[in-house]
Amino acid sequence: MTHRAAPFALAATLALLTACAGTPPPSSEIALTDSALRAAELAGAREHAPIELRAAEATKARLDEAMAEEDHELAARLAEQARTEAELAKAMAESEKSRLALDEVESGIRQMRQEADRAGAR
Amino acid sequence: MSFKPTYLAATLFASLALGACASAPEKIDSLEEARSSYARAAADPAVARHAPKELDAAKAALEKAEALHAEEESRSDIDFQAALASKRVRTAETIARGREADRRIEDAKLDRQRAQLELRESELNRSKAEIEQARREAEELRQQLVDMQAERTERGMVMTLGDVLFEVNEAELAPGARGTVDQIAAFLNKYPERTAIVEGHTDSMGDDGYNMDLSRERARSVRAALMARGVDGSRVSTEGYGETVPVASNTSSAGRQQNRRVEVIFPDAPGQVSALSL
Repeated sequence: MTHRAAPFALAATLALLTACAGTPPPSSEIALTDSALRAAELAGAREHAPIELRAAEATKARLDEAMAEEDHELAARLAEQARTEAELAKAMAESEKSRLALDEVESGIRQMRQEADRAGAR
Repeated sequence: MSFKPTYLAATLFASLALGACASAPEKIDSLEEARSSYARAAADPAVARHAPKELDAAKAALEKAEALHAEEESRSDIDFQAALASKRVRTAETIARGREADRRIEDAKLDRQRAQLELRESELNRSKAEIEQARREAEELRQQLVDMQAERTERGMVMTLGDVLFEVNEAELAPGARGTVDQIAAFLNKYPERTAIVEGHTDSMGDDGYNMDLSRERARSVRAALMARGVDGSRVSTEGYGETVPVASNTSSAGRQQNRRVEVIFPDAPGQVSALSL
């Protein structure tokens, strides 16, 4: 390498570093993802939407890896994906709980009608 | 106007050339799926009603995927964004399903109230029928006792077996008593929860002790006759009162005949519709 080339090399290195530092750590996205995961768990996703919750947690694990490797661009995308998946898990859990509650009420009504029929037949 | 083949050929050529230039957009499965699932959700009134915010988020994600596609960004970027859009559609649809279930729960609760009312009504009708049945049975019972010429007293219905139904100065039932005893036995056999008290009485003629014994023996022979007709002895008690409880004056022969008697009392069973109350 010639002496004249040195400034160019320095400039290139700086440019490269700037590019790396160009994507800051997606801290607020990660915070949103964490709270979406908590909300899903609170909604009972562990019990009522286990597959969807596990998918969200797996994406969160990949996100943590990306953060460890300081790949902030990938981390930002995974944060959005994990949040989307956690929101789906929460919706699944809540919907499932509603469905179970509906089943319970409906079967109660069926029983009562049968009793009424029996009582009427006597 | 005549048709000119040269124009036709030129037009065809031009359109082919144009088609070739506007490079046919590459078909991307993930984007296709996101589009069709969004279209399905957007057309579902339940989703629009219950999850408008989530549907908007799905739409935004789909538009982002479309933009990436239009700008011919990398396939993996488009796939990523399309997958997010599909998941958001699922979230919106799931929320809508849950809310629909919630709404149906409210309807079902109304149904449950109705069913409860129906149940209560049919139970009420049943108790009415049971009360009616009990009333009929009590009426039947009363009629039976009336047929047996039993009299209503505060101790219950009382049937009096006159002197003529016994051999003179004997405890033995006379053959003429058979019909009356048959009636009493049939009654007790028909109403197994009823009991009877048999009480013997005499007139004042003769020795007190003899009269006491005779009254007691006559009551016992009625009980024995009932037991011979299948009535359990535990349901029939006996008592002798001799001459101590006259129902008429002992000074006339007619009065003395009235006093020589055996009374069969049917106490009103507790918890039953009383024959007396009818």
